[in-house]
Amino acid sequence: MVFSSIIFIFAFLPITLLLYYIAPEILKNPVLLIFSLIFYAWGEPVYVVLMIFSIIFNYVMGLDIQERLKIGKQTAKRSLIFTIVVDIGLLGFFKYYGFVSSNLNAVLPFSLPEIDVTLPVGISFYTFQTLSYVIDVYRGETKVQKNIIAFGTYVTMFPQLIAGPIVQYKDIDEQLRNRSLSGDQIGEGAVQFIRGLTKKVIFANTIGSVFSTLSAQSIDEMSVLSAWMICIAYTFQIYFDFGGYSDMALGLGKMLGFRFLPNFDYPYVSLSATEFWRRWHISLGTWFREYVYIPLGGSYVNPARHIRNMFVVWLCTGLWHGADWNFVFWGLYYGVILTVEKYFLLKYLEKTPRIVQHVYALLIVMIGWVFFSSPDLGTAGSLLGVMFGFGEHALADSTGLYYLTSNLLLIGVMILASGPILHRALDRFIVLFRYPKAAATVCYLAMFLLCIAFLVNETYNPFLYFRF
Amino acid sequence: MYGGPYEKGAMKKRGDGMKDGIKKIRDRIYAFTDIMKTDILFRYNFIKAVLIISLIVFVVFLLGGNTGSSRSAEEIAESVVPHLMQTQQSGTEEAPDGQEQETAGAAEGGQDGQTEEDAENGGDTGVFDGMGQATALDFKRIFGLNAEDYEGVEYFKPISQMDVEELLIVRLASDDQAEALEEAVEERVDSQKTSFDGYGAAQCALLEKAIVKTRGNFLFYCVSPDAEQYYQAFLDAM
Repeated sequence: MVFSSIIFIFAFLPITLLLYYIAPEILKNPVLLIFSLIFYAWGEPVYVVLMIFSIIFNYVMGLDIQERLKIGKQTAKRSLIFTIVVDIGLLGFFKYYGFVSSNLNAVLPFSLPEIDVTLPVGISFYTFQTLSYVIDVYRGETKVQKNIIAFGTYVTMFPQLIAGPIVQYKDIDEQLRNRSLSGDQIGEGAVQFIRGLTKKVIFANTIGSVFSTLSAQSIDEMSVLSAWMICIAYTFQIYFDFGGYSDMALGLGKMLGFRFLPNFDYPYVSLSATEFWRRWHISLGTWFREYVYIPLGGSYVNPARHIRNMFVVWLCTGLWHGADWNFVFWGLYYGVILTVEKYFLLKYLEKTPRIVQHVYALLIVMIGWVFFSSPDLGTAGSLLGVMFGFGEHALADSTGLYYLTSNLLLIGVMILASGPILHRALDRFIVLFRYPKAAATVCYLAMFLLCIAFLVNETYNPFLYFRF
Repeated sequence: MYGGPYEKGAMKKRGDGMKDGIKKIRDRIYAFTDIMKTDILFRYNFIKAVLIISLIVFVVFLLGGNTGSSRSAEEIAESVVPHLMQTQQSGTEEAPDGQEQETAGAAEGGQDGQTEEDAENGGDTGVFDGMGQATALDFKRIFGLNAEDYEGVEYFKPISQMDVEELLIVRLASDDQAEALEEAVEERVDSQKTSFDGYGAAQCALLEKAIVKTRGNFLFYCVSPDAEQYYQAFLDAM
């Protein structure tokens, strides 16, 4: 089930919220757990079994590690390694087996069997969440959760189940035990949900259709303008799609009494690739920093090891996004860029005008999206070739001009919405009224109705990050 | 009397043996529950073992599910086709004016063409933008195979000669049919590529992304900009 669907907005969400609000304190977690499992099973009836396994397994392993810590660190460490092997093994089997076997079959004298399993939605997200829990229990950074319902609620919580943010257990431990709900918080959550819905339904889906249509063209006959339009369209689509989802997740969380940490902080206003990654998919960056980068030594080692650590993290980041060479390349691309920025470029870049820094950062990010969105590295290379004028391609063609002119207004609005300007302007506009709360209600209700109008005419349009 | 005291003794012995056996099992269960109560690590190890075995059973079951489906080819196609119609309609709406007219024109022409062919072939019903339901004769002509040899064939062919979108779902009668059918489909893709090579860049791009998959007792083949989505719908339907 997706948030931006009529069935979610008009059936699942109202029923869940109603039962959740009327349930006594002790039953709130069970209600949330049951509805989260229904939410997941809606599209993944088989893989809900895998999720239930993951809950029980990691719950037991948390208790096991806690118990073994009383005996000695070594035995607890063995238990932790076993947990990590099983969790990563499951993720690896469902997500990477096809990729690994097809590559090995190309070089091995024998063939590994071809297994055609579909990727369980959200497995990358919930595996990272459960891993954060068992690692933190081992490190003593969080208390073990003895209530399996509370732990199951943490793993399955529907607002962040499918596409994050990756909530670390220690950030939510207290809220699972005790949380408060107020009218203001519910209202704040509803506003954030509508903002996210608008980003997804009005911006991401509209510009996404431009990307799909233009991408269907043959690259050989593509003009430079069309190639740039593809890149621009995807740059906006992925931000408003994933950023919109995160906003909806945070909004729904607030409506249920939870406060998740933000996942995006206007990434396209960044002045370097380093800054971009501090603002983009923050929960993933934080996870890799805490559970991979720092344990490897982080930056408190000699430069050679530091560079190795950075490349390990970026290789993992690329692979986390998908089992394909273009994701590996995309990860390593950022590994190179961030290393160069750290050791050389950043100090010179900071002396240039802000506009130069901004153009540089956007260019790096947009080139990155070409690798990310392309089906293979060859296509990415060809598209970049057209964008930068390699080969005999027309500067502009009627298709490129048509899509540019017909989407100019949308692109303008999206540029404003990518930064804090539009949000601040809206907030300031609302307080101009005599009754700001009433004005805000009318304003967001209008946005909501507009989204519904878009949704009614739309076919199934899942979030881009569902496939990760 | 038959058996007499010997039989009674034997029964008594057998009964005592059974009682001893039950007692032993009961004692072992008690011992096991005692350890489970007292040795917490034993308890966790036992749960871990049960969980890992359950996981292995689940994965085996999942892969076993890969052997196919008991549904008919028609049922599977019915689940995929509405999805196909919906996506293609929305795709047409997005095209610019010039292209929209061109696509609509092609579709209309194609549909007309299909209607004429339908009349020749005894009448087909399912017609979509870019493809329309074909007959057993079409299947024979295009793939060189007899539809009757299979348990079910659902084929949607391009509706005009300038289209390459097509969808084929076949329920195999036996496993050994898979290889020949896959070869026939690959030949079809190659032949289409040859036909459009040089002037139909968009068609060639679609053919490059053609999906040909055998899943258990089913073969799926699709050429379309949204082939991945149709394959997913096919998997879901199975």
